[in-house]
Amino acid sequence: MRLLREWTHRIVGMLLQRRRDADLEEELRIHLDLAAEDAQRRGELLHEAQRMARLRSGSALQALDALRDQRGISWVEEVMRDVRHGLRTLRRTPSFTTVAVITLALGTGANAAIYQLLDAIRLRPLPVDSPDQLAIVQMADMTRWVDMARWTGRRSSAYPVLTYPLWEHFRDHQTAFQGVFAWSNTEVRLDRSLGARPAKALLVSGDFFNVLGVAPYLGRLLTRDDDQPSCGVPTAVLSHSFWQRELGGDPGVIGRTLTLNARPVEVIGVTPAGFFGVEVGRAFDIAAPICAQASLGGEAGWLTSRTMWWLTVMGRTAPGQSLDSVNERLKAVSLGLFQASLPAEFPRDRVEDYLSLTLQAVPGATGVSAVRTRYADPLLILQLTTGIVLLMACTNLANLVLARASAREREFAVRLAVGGSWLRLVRQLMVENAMLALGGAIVGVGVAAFSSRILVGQLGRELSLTLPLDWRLLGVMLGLAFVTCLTFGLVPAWRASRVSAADTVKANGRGASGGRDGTMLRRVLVVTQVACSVLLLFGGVLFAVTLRNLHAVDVGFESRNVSIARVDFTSLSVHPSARRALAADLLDRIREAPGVESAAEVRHVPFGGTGNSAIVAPESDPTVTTGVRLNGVTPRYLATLGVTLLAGRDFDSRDSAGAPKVTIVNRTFARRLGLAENPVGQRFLRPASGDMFEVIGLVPDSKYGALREDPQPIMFVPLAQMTAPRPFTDFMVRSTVPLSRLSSLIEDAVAQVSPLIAVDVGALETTIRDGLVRERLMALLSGTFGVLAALIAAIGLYGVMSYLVLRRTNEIGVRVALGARRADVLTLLFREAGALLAVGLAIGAAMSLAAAGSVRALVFGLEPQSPGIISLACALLALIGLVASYLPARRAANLPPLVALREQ
Amino acid sequence: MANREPSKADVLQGTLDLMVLQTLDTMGPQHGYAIAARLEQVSAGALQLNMGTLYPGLMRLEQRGLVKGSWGTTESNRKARFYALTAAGRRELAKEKQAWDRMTTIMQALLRDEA
Repeated sequence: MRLLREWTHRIVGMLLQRRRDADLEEELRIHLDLAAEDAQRRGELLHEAQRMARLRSGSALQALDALRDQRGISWVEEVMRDVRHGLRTLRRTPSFTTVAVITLALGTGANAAIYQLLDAIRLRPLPVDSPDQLAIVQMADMTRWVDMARWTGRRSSAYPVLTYPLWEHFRDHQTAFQGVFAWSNTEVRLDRSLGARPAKALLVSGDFFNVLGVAPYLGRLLTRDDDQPSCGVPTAVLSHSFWQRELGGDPGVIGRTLTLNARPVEVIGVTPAGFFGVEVGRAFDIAAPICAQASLGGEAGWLTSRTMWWLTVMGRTAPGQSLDSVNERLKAVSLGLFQASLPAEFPRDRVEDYLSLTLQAVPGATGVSAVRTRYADPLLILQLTTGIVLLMACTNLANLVLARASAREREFAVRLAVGGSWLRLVRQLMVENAMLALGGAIVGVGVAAFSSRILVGQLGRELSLTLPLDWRLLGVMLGLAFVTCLTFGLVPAWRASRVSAADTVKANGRGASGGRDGTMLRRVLVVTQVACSVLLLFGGVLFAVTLRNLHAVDVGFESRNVSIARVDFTSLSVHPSARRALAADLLDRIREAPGVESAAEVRHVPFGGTGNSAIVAPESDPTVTTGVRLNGVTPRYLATLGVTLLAGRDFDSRDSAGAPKVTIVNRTFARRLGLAENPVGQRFLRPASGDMFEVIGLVPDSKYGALREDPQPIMFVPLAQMTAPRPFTDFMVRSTVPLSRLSSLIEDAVAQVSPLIAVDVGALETTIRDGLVRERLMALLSGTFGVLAALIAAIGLYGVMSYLVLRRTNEIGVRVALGARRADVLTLLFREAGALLAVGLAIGAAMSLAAAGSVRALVFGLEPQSPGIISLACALLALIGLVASYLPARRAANLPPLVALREQ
Repeated sequence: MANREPSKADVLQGTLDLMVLQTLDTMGPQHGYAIAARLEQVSAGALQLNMGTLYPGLMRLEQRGLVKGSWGTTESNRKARFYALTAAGRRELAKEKQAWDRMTTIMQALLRDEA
């Protein structure tokens, strides 16, 4: 310990307290002065005293020399000298420096950006206490449960869910977990003072924050007391970002009343800044207790319904407890749980299914996420892609550094020969390359920050994510840059130490055909680059073509000039029985608005992200069931979307609630159900409700929810004949009026009914495009990386060719002098480049072929392993490669032979 | 070196450090001239320290963290660089003193035997 202190003391002393010459000189001068004063005091005259002082104390100059020796040169100074020298050298070759720094920056920056996204979506645990103790409770057999829930109930969540009675019973009787909580997503509308915008709300059980281990940032968080049946004016907790964004971070917010869906809630606290809930990609704004579900304007009866599956349940295991033991206990309580909550109205043949359900716990440290499933594969592919880009950046850098160092081999050899220290040479090279690495890493941070912003911007519609810069990651990037630069930068120093100076000096420029020694490594590097860029270009082409194919898909209706008006009348507290009339009234007013050509109400907007399935069977045999998509529409929906009836009629006022059930089906539906070519007049059965439907119209196939899907069997039913109208609905509006103008026209029309009704108007085309975020992202990024890779390969080829030409300048001179034509020289050099390219292309094509199979799920409208796209990528790269190698070859061929012969 | 008077004692290798440390220990922080004057006085003029010996020695001690130098003013209000013992210096001094004592005992025993 003491030794350590002494050493640190010494090093700090060396770094900080090195005295300057002036300081030393002054000390010596004072010494002489003091000695002279002493002599004067003893009675000497000034002049004599000074002489005696000098005699007694020795020469100041000699002393200064001795002091300078003692002071020595610190390594800091030496490194500084190397840094200055390195900067000078790098400045002398600006193109090399720029290319090297940019290559590194792009490689590292792109990696960091993608990794951050991957980390945020897939890897990062929830920002709560001991996230690895969290588990998600779901059904052991999810497929069976989904099937059962479809038959007998409704599901209102993308995640594993329970009904409220199940949750209550589970909460009160489970022993498997230390603590459990439930939550559900919902949307609430802020009041007009906050712009009447929709906000993302969480309905949470009382123990939500407690079990997660989240401490309040302000005020207090929800507890069991807040979540009691019929909780009056509900309490609510705000997220930090909502509080900052909408309320300006007002510290007096505690105790304030906010109006959500025109109902008051009391704000009791704010969560800490990093806490976004338990769903990655959907950060919540406001959390209210589950008991507030109905009072916030939600559907009545969800708290008692045994067939409405809407709560996601999570639990925290006791420290050290394994999931296996939790699952054993869950299995044990399951039977009792499902027996106690068996819905009275349950179809008898499904009871057994219900009772045999068992609960199961799966790890929940990273929360739940719908985006995770959507983006898992693309992100992994992108990460691999950026990994390859980084590899290429490193090889490119290695190539550049090697080329540069080879050019200086002579300098090094001479320096060593005249007695230069080998260590010093190595140190100087290290410093020089470290500066390159540092420069690359610094610019790389900029690239990472910039591309993260673009990524989040691209994904913004789907995700609410923050991507803070991860400094550990930057450290890794920096380390990688350093290792690359140093490893390859030191090769020449190592080589110079082995080869005698005389050989190097002699060999340079005089070799017959350019020795193979140094160039082998560089050839391998270039082949690697070419192969990698074929792979990346291939990927880029795949996803670009996919995006183009998706854009070209015929959706089966005319989306131009169609807008979606979402009308939300939750604030009005309209009784469900009066909602249909209200919606009809609203539709009439929208139809009368100026500029509106046609309008209709729809249950599920195409590509809107929601949908409904039904199970139907032919009239003749009710046991042969088919799953179909269902949508509820008003008359004129088909006309509004520009869909022409192939046969039969549109819905009209005859098809009211009490009238016989009628439906319009598409071609695929008719084919699947074995109906006639013209099915109008035919009937089929919906076994779940026992309803019989009569087909009154036939329409062409159209897409229902996604561009990628195969033609779906779709049945349209009159909205009037559908149950359970919601407190909000969507209208499709056809109009050539610009969107902003149309929006205010519709708002005016709706405001005639009540100013409390909120309207959001958007273009149908935007909704369809939003579904392509993932595809656009893939096309954009993989395309960029492909081009980047091609560029890097071109630089690499150019560098190697220039180097080869340089080495063979003499030989070329001799050949030209002996009568070789320009074309002969070009052929000679091109053969060299062509061989490298060909080997690289072959390897790249093989790698592409191997990789193609794994991306099949992500591409659309093309066969990834088809030779066409691989050939396209190869051809693109071959072209780029030939151009890159033509330039140095032409330079060599144009060199006058005398110049070439004299060239050193 | 060549013209040094033979009467003056050469500073024995390694003893300068010990002398300087001891001087600073007894007299407290001192500037270079005061150290030289003190040694000269103690040795009754036999030990005249050259600046070229004294100051590199002080710098060496400073580099080893045994003394610490800082600019200050003398009693006569003159600027000078003062050297003070550090804690490490005090420890080093105690150690060296012990070593010196042991060595002199040995030497004395050896020399007396011979006599």
